[in-house]
Amino acid sequence: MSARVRPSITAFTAVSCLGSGQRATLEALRKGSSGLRPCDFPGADFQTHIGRVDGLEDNPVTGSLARYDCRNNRLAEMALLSDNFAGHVGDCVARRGAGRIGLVLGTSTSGIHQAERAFAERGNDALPDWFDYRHSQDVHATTEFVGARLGIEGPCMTVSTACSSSAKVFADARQLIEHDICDAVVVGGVDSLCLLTLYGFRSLELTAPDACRPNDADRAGLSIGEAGGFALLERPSGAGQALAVLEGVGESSDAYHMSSPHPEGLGALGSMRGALGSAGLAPEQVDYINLHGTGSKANDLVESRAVMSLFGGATPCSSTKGWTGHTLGAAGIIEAVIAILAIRDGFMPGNLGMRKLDPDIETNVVPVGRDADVVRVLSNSFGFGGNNCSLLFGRAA
Amino acid sequence: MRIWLSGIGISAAGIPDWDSAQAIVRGERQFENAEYSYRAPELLSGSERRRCPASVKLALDVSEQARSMAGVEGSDLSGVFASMTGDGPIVTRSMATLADNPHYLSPTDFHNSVHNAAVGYWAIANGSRHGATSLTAAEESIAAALLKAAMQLHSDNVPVMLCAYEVPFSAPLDVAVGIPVPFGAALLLHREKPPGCLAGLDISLEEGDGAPSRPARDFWSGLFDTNPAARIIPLVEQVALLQPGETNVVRAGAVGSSMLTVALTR
Repeated sequence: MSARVRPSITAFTAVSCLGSGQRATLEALRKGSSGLRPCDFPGADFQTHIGRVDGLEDNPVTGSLARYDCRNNRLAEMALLSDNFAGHVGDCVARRGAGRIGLVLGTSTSGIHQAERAFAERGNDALPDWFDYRHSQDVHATTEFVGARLGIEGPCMTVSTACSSSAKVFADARQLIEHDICDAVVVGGVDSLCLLTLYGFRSLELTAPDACRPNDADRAGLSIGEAGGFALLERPSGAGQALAVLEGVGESSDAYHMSSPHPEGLGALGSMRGALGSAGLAPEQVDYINLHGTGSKANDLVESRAVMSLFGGATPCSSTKGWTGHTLGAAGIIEAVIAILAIRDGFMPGNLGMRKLDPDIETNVVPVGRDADVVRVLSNSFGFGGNNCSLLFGRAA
Repeated sequence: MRIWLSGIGISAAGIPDWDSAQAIVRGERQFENAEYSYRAPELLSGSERRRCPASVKLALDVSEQARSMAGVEGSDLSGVFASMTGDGPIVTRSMATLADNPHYLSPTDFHNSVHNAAVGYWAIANGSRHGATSLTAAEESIAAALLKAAMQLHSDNVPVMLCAYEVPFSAPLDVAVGIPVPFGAALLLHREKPPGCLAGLDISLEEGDGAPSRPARDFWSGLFDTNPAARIIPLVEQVALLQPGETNVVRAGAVGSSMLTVALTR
């Protein structure tokens, strides 16, 4: 196999409970201020914490794309506007041509909250007239909305592999560029709060009553969050100024269980090895690992075993889900954005929510963030169904 | 991008497998409509077989047909699974439970509701630890899956099980979605020509607004028009009709503003 293309990242943004854009995200990471709050999502009646984005209720999608209006697409629109992301893509479309730009987004539940609202109003087993499955609940609806919004005419597809969705989109983007189908690809993910995931994780006894505490000895589960984020990946030649590069991607399957990780972390190990292999890098060349680190008992322990066996106990690592909560299908892109910020701004995030490291976790978990020269970051995302992905970002040459 | 086909699976009402599909497409046998019935996946353990939803049964049925035809080990395969809707019955039931009594949401239904349930069960059933994906491009999911499979084969050279499946929703979402009957198909694809090769597929993207190919045989026009997975029918028909030395061209669907075109040879 020939050397893999290393796409340049020329624009990126994120919206989460930390706020809109790079600056709000970085400030919260530096200050150690969490975006999680006691659950106040309408209809979710149990004790937990959530990462909720303010302002979605007041900002409907209007104009020619109004039929796409739903919580998920409002969040997508908010992310398109932050850090002038849509403007950067517009420049890229003008420079390279709309047909040479692709779009691959991840989501787990898309606009399913619209169906939840419709079912709450149903009478005689019929849904209300305003409900539009195709432009809200449909898993591809947000990708279609964003594609129309940005005027992209290259391939558009949606990856839905639960919590690894918006990490795996980087693999698709790299292939689209490698095989000369695209010169640039917009990747990202949008996943908004809904009753299905809140009650779903609760039914599996995986939601924590208080804010999540990844890697803590007394961790009690997840906090569910919502987020949207994007990155523009370009073929290195003819690209704008590179803010970072995608050095490697690794994917694997657990082949073990639908909702529990492989006990020895074989899936996690496979995806991390794959990322290093495709980048042609050794473990010691990674400066920081952004863990999947959901805060569940099983995930954090199993992930730490996989990290130990590949990296040993020296490489600094942390979970940033104490800030954002687990944003599910958006977790890959949010943590990719954090990885890029760490490289660009020379900051290694800590592990918010952890008071006392789990004694069974032997990795070098960074308790509190610090300034550091970060050249390469590995970011892990593992999904229900056992679809895993690890991304390796590096500083632009 | 050139890729090769070594196994094929199909399931529709009245067409339980590739042998029957081939005979009907070639006109050797008459199509007779029948009530659709799901096959229980033999590869899964007892509890998983009981717990897995309709979409997973369908996806495992057709992918196992394709694997056994090719006679390869499931653990050697990667998966590209495509579906517009995932599992409609589970999603519908979960929506009703959340509206009526959310604390009763079933944990099994929740983990079966994820779009990648089928590829997850497939990896478990086959013991495959290769990367695998679950994608959608709504009505154009077949074209997206063919493109993704071809790219992945040429990047990683691990044989790909391309599996497309779509099952009807139950009421009241059935009206909103409009998929009346199940359909699934699977193609086992390779980068290098494998033993027992059924066809070579030359995949390209062509500019222009031309319409996609329609089925050569009328009896599955209705299926083609209402079930997004059935957009694969013109392609699998041409596998059945292909003669040595011939090239049959199928326009498999839109990828952005381009048409994904497959030239089949044998």
